Amino acid sequence: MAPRYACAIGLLLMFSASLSLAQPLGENLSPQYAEAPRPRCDSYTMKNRISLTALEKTCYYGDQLFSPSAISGAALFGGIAQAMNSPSQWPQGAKGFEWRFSTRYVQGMAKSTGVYLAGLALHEDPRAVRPECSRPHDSRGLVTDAATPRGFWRRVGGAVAVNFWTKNDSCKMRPAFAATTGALSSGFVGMAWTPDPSNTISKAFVRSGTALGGSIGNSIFAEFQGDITHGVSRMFGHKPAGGF
Amino acid sequence: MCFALSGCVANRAYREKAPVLHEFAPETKLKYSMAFVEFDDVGEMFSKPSEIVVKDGKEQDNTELGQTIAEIERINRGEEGPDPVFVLFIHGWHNNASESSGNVWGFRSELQSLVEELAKRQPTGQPARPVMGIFLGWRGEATSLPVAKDFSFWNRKNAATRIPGAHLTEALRRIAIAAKSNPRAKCVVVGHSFGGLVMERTLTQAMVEMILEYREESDRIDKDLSEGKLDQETAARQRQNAEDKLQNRRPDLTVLLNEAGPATEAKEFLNFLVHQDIEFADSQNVRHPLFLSLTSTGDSATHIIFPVGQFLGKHGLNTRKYEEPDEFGETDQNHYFLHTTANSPRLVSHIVTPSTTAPSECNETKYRDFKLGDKTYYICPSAGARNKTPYWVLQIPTEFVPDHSTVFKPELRALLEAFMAPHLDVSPSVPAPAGGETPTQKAPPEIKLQRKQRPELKQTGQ
Repeated sequence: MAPRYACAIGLLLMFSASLSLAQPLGENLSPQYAEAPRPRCDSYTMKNRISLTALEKTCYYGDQLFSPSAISGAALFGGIAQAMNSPSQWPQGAKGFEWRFSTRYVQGMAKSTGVYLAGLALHEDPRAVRPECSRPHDSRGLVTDAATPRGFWRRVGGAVAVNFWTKNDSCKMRPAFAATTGALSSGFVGMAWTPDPSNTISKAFVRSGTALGGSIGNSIFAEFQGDITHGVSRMFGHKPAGGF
Repeated sequence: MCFALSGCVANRAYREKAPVLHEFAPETKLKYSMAFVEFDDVGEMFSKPSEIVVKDGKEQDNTELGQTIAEIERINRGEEGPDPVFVLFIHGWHNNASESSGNVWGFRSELQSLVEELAKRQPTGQPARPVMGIFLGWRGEATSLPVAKDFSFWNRKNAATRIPGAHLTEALRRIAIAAKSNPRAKCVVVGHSFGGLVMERTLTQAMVEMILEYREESDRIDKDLSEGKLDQETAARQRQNAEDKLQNRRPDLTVLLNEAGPATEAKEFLNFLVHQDIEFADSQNVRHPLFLSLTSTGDSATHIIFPVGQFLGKHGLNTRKYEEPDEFGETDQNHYFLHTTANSPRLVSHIVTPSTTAPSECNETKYRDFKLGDKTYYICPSAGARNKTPYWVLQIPTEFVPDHSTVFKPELRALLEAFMAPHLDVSPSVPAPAGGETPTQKAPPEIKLQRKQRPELKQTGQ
């Protein structure tokens, strides 16, 4: 028994000594490299991922609900409705604008909710501009190589088509339903407050059609936003590139 | 409770516990380091006196900057491979150094791409070149409340003008000196939006000081030589020392992307470069950029919103009309104040254009060409441009950067690679001398900051 204990104590002492010696040496050891963590909902990933995860679609939905463009859009179309006195049963002035603005804002929220829920259920991408599935990407789905610039009509065609026929999360082509679902949500939620003579199914479909038109317009605007800026700055006498 | 409800983003450091990360790219498993140095809302570094300790007679600096410098020194010792590349980035509006910041992820992605690209360029059997990214963080986001955060532009612009101070200058100089202590190392600095403004303010002042110091030293050596106080050999050695100081203590390239600062910042530095006849050229007399200001033609923030904001925020500031047109042909200082550098047409020096629509002169004068998908692009001097300094100013098409904030894109990477290629090329290492412990480090053919040749000045004067 005694030699066994002595051996165990000896081993323990050697182990402790090795630990105490290893401590100062450890400072000079090469660092341990690890795989980068997985990104979530940051603006870079949301723009460059081929397909969004459910969490990222939720983040995108949250951003859409409360954004300056949602507010300014509702204010603009509320203002137009006010000028056109539509619906005529509603008053003019601040009260009338408040009603028209808030109903349009809620319609926008209903549209975003429809797009979000349909996108989740049917694995569709809610983004107005998304990287093409054919582009090289890494295991996290982030694009790695530059895209070949496309011509004007291909860009217009792509921006329109994405609302009706697109690739799903698995990059398979199929009809798109999210935009239409969002448009229908927006059109029919209006039935909750539209005054009686105008509160018909056909009017709800008209509103849905307008909302779908808005989605297509938004896709085209998002695709050409940079070019529009370029055009506007040139229009105001700013010659951007100098020379030649 | 009130603080949380207001959505205020805390004025705190995010990386104090682990400012240096060691990661590898997901596909190729190639390694890179990423370090963070953070500044508070008034421009002070987040460091505590207790983080600097003396242990065994040696000072141990555990601040974010201290740990970053230690990592740079470790990489420069060659522990991860030869010819390291250091990339320093400072972000702009809506970002900070937290993991939820898009710029942190964009920067990480760029480092992964860079380490992979450099590995592809290495001859077979050679180890990959180490890459280290240094992320300078500040409080670029004041509130996380939706909508409200979009109205913090002027609040954050004011913050960006507070950041360039002694602490940032110290950080940039120490990082650049540590990085360039290895003559084969390359150092590229990138600033985006307000980060570009911060970087420009800090670096241009440092550059002015360095160039003037070099000039003063050169003049002194010339004088001493002519008066017989120095022999030729000592003069040559002193000249080399002064030259080394100038070439090896600055970044190789500084890139300002969609910079959100008035052109008055750049104009002063441009004037200085013109008056000092400074050029940045290689041994074949090809001129390269030392500073590069790139702005997308689709950037509405700097094209449209910035001039309006500058106009509204001008208050009592008096700009003046120049008595005669300045070096670039401008007569009104107000124009520089209202616009950013790349949005001041008189400062534009180069263009980026598809080869199919490039002007004919471009074929002969082009600096470089590169591919984007199957399309070829040229980088050419802008015809009639008066800005011929090493501070290049360009507007870039929307296919590279579509708007103000989308700067981390493979398309922009393709463009930046065209500018960085001359810096990233390396000459082969000279084998170690017999009995020597380490291979002799010989710098690749260098692009040098220098004064223009005098005969050329005479020609322009005629």
